[in-house]
Amino acid sequence: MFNLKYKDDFFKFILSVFVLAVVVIFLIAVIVILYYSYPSISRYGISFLWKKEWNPPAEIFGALTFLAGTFFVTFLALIFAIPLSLGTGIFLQEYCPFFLRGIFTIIIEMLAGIPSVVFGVWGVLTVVPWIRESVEPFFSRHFSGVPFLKVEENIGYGILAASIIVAFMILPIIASITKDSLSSVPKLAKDGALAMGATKLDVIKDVSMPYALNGIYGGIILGFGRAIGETIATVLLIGNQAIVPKSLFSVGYTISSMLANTFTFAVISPIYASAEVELALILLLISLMVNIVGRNILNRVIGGRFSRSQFGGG
Amino acid sequence: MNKSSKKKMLLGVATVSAVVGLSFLVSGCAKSKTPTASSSAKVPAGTLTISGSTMLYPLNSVWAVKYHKLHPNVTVSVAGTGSGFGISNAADGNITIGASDAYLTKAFKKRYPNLINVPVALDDAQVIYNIPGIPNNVNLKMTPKLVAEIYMGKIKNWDNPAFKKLNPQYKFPNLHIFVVHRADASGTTFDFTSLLTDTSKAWAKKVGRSLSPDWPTGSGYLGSDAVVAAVKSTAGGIGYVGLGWVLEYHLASAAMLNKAGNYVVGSVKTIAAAANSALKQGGFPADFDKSIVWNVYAKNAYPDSNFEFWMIRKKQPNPSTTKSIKDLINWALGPGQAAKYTVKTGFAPLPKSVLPNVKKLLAQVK
Repeated sequence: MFNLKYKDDFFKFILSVFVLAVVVIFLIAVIVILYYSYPSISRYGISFLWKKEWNPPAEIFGALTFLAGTFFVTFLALIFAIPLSLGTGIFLQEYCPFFLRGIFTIIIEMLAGIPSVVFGVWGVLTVVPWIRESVEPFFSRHFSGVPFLKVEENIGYGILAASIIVAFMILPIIASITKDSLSSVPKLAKDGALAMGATKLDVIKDVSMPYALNGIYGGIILGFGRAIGETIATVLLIGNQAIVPKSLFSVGYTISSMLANTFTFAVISPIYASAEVELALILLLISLMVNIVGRNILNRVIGGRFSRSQFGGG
Repeated sequence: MNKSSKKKMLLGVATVSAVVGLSFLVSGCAKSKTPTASSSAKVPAGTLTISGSTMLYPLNSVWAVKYHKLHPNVTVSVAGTGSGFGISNAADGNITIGASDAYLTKAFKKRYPNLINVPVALDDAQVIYNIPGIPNNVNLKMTPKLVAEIYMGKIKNWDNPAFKKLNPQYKFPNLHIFVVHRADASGTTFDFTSLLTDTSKAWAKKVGRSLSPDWPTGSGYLGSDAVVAAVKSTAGGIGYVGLGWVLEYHLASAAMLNKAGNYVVGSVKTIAAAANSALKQGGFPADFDKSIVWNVYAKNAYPDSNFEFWMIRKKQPNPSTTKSIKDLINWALGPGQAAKYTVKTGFAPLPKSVLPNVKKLLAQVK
């Protein structure tokens, strides 16, 4: 029917249709989100961002509590994850015996592939009781006067539980990017420093880390992008209460968990749905920006690998 | 046709379906199949779609299976997509029947004037708790006002004298009350907040009735199972769930003060008594747009129950669909009310007294 040349062209054509479909789906998603959030944007304006009350029956919508919860969880998760993952990355690249490096790397990358609901379930079964029975009683005995560490309800659920689990979820991203960044440090530079009498620690501190730092920043930003969109683990752990958290042990609410909990009901009322879609838009914009910035840094530092990275956002 | 050209065809089909899929995304909603008339059968053949309330889903499912057995030419397809989806999509005609835990409030009615809500079963909201020192099988006495104050964060501790006053035989610990509510939009929440709205002015003003209210205090959990787990795992916990969960987990729930001054525990019997009394005492809206809370005079009425609904469009696309819908409803409200369907899936059967009003409502469906 066709000669080989045409076959090849036809196949190419089909493939480009598929690629086009992916691009179109992305654009449709963005357009739909913009379209449906427009009524809310035009009605509530910029004050949507700092109003606290979220009252669907009264059609009063303000995103502050959800924004606050989202940023609390994201930043705490980063604070927990960064030292752990930097340590892991440095160990794997610089200290790990060669025969173990492969196994450890695989295990850490497998951690990235665990479905987030599994992390959430594990959190409910272990982290929540641990916080309830050990951490909160300890803090309420010794730190009861400290503002950000006050235990109001000894229930285990809340910002802390969610942040710990999200930290585990972003750990593999930051750890493996740290390792890759360190592996891209020129051997000559390290050897030079060693020849001048530097210890291994000196080399890591003064040669490798400064060189790899931009890459590590990129990894942290990608971790941020993953953390901010995390949904089901936070639904299970955060306590889902629309308040601005006053303490590490407060309950709270994130944008993503709020959408997961209520969006199927919100479709009942156009303005209610629109306000929730506006929350989705905010999340979309933040994670898009974060991903673009993170990937740009990584591309400059390590090369093309992370433009097609296996780590998505959210 | 050789092998490679077959492959091409497959690819072509894949492309077409991708494009169809895209247009599907743009249009947003699935179109439901409408039943087509059949020549001989009593009930017109076709497919009826029921979608909406996840709480009502198990009952809809057992009904669908049984109804299909009785009428092999009719397929009832059931999905649990949330009450909000059920109401809005029934109004738009995307599904035949929208399942909902809540009736059409004034605001909904204004938005969807083309819908009627037919009651199909009864459900309730019961208060559960976990208080150290109080045995698991005790039905503590509580009043709706007291519960409202707990859920507004005004009463924060179990040693508050209000508890002791109602239940003098028990010793209440000095323990923080851990308030648990639903995180997702829920019919149980709607019922629960309806009782608080009708009995506490402060609650009515500050929070009101809603499937997903702006909770003044506490923490939220996804689904009733998670509410049970949160209350049971935390000393000092209080929460609310429907009859189905109380039966399934053998929970002791609060004996709630009713209008007649009695403390009544929610059960199939007391819920049915409430519904019966509400319909018979007069003043209950003929279109069922009300929860059966508080203003029910029967002595043994549980004061916090409500109907589960099917939302149906008044104007149906063709007479055979109308006929199918009415036949399904008549079956569900008749033989379908047997305990093996309703109580088994966590609901109380409707009292016969609803039938005259349902008949009037169904007359509007054309």
